[in-house]
Amino acid sequence: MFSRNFAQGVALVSLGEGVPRIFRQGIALAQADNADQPSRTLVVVQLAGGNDGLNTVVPYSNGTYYTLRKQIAIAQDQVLRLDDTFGLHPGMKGLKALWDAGQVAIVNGVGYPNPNYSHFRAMEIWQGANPDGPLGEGWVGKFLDTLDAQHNTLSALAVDSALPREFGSHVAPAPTVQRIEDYRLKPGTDSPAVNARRDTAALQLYELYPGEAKYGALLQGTVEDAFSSARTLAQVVTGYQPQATYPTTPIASGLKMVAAVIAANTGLRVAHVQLGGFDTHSRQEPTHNKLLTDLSDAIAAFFQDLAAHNKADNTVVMTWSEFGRRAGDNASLGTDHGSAAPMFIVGGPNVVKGGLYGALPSLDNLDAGNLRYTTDFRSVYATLLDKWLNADADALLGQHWDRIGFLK
Amino acid sequence: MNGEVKTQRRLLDYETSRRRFLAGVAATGVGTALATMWRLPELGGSTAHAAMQPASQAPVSSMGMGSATRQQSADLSAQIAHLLRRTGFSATPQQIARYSALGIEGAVDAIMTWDSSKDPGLDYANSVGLDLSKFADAQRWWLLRMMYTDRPFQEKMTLFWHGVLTSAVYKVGTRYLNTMIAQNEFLRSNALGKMETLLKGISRDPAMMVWLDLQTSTKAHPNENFARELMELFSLGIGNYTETDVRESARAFTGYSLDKDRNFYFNAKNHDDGQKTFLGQTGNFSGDDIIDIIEQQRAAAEFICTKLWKFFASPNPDPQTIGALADTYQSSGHSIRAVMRQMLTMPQFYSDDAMNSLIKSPVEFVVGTVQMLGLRTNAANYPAYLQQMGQELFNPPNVAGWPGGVAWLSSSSFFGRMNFLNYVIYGKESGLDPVNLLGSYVGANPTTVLNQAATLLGKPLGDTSTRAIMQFLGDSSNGSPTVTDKNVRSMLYLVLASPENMLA
Repeated sequence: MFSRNFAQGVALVSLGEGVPRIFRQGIALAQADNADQPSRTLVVVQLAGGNDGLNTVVPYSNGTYYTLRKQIAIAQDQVLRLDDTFGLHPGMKGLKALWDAGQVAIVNGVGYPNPNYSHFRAMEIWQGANPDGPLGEGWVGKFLDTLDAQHNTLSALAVDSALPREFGSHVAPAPTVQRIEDYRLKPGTDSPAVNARRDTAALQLYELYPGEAKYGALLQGTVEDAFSSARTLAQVVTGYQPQATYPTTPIASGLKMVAAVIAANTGLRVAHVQLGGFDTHSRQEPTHNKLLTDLSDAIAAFFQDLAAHNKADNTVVMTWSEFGRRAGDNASLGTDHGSAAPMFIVGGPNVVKGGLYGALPSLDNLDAGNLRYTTDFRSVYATLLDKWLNADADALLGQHWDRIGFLK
Repeated sequence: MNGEVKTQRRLLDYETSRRRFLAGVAATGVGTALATMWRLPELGGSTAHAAMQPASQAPVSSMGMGSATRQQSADLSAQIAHLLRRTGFSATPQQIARYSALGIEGAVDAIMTWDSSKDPGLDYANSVGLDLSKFADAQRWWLLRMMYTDRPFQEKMTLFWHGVLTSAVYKVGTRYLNTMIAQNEFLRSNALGKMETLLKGISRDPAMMVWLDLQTSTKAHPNENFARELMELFSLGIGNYTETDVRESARAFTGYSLDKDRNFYFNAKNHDDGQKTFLGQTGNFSGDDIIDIIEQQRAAAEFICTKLWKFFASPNPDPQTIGALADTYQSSGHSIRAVMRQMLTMPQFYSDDAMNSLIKSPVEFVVGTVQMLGLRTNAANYPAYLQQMGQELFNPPNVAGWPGGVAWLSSSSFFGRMNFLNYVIYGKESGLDPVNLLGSYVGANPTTVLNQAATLLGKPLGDTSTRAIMQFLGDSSNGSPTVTDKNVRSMLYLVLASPENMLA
């Protein structure tokens, strides 16, 4: 999902700029690099369309919630109770089990000042961590730039057909993969020897192409990384056995691929998967139910698999959405674009301090029908960049944001 | 400047192969057409070469040309190829020759004119036995129209509108593919018409109404989705309206309804006919009134002209160019045809900033490949490849359409493009015949064969790509470069896989 305003995108990886990436061969080198200190991975899960926070983390003991949502409120006896105040949407049984194991932190009321109600502008704001200006590099992209010295073509991975904009950086794009079996050059009908030469020449077309030509550096970087990451990924996946039964949904398949790369210990730092369809303007249930169920079941399988590979404590998942939805429901059994919403942080039992953080915005004191945020999203980013990824969060985000205590 | 030298070298390479076509052109007695090449100096800086001296208006009398004329004809061919690629999906050598003979203005007029009573692309699409109630078949149907049309500009404009006035099957529902097809036909018929016609029509379009929840919008509870996206993404752009304008205009669009078969009707009982204040005006506005008020704004002119420029010309719209186009938009009563005619004939369209400045979208890549290779196909499996490349027809990722530009470049989409080439070049069903394309290549000079293959691109293959492919021809022949039955398809694959071919 993207913003349509690409003036920044072009200036970013502009014609003739950028450094071609160093070609790194194969899995062994990456594993050797990573042997001493198995890396920590942040998995960014984007809920595209604007997730309805109030029906996800339900304030079931608050009467105003039921007044505001006469049509689509989740009944008290339906929620999966987290405590006396909040309960999860009934579809989220998998996540509830992780909550019971202390592996889920929920930050309530996350947003930013002067919220934007456009999908695209709001997404840009979350992706660039800059509500006041255009989207330049993505916040993850800025972090990935700091890794370049110890270059590894699988330090980042997006399961998608196009690069998520939080990964946008001044260097060539991170690998994006949809289906592993399609992530390679398929052979033609000429002999294997000719085919091998052909594939070598295909790479050479891009390696030799002048970097100062239009889109030269970008084309070069994209293709070089494609070849390199395809080689590594093929090796990773060959050696991998999932230790959980993943649902057959795309998000579960995406997390399964991420698990394979994490299990191979090749230094994956940030991954991205997304789940779309949250823009529930009408007939919110059963759509929202299916989305939250799929999300929850996928994350549950993911952590079950990681635990079996001894990687749960190396992994933290963060969910985000470009906005929440209006406090009240509309006449179409849905909700319109809103503002603040909760974020989930899910991780291994020894990394996450499970519990509720932040504060639910008041349902009685709304801002033209919308929730007033209580925690800035950049505090969540700062906490993860600093305490999980060991990066200079204040430098990357341009200022200090208070840390939240959801990591041990 | 280094870039300049490189460009120069490439144009000379291009010229070598061009010369053969121009000789062919002259031989068939189209000599007078060469006179139109003298128009070239009007068009301003189009290459990195020093500007050619404007010549006298004396017509060229023979093919005994000096180097100035050869260069100008090469420049014109490059510009025509650029024009063809941007207004369509490819520029074949035959088309370049044909349209070069008309000069820029003549070519633009020819491209923008067609006989509406015939539609060979539609005939072909309807002849291969597709079931338009199936998603993949519907996509193939439109792809085939694009591939075999006699007026690619109409299809290209339709593709543009599909990415602006978006609707997607993932919400509209595969059961109602007929409404997506109907929307497609509506966009096609009105592609070069007046903006109001497009907007008013799309506000009543059943697929659009479902897509943006307009059919559930009532007087008691107006649904804002359509009103917001109408302004943000279809007509004005962020910053040119307020949240209040969104809420007020949503009231004006109430009452738009769909019957059980998803046909449009207006339900007056559900319509809020009270006073609304919108963009500074007050009245009991209808949805059509809202659109009229939107179109009165200068911002509306600049918005759509910017979108058109970024899709057809270059990623860098400059205020003066957009201003000129917006002036035409306003003075012509918001005619897309008028704007496009101006755009395609202005010097900026042929500037260095514009040439080879756009990354081909997946659809352009796929349709262009078929056209460049002269394939006869029913497009089976093409939608799956397009999905991997990141562009599913009738299914944009969200209401903003496809971001385009550098977003088309990802490792996943790169493999999608390569594997599509693999599928059509080595597969048997598309009827690719290397001898047809290249002439008899066995025993021929490999440079000549590669040059011939390169002409399929409609633009020069650069030094580095030529070198890489010659290297392949040598390596795959275990000795000096040779083109044989055992490597000719792979050679074609490499030509089409080149970075040059990724740019429009």
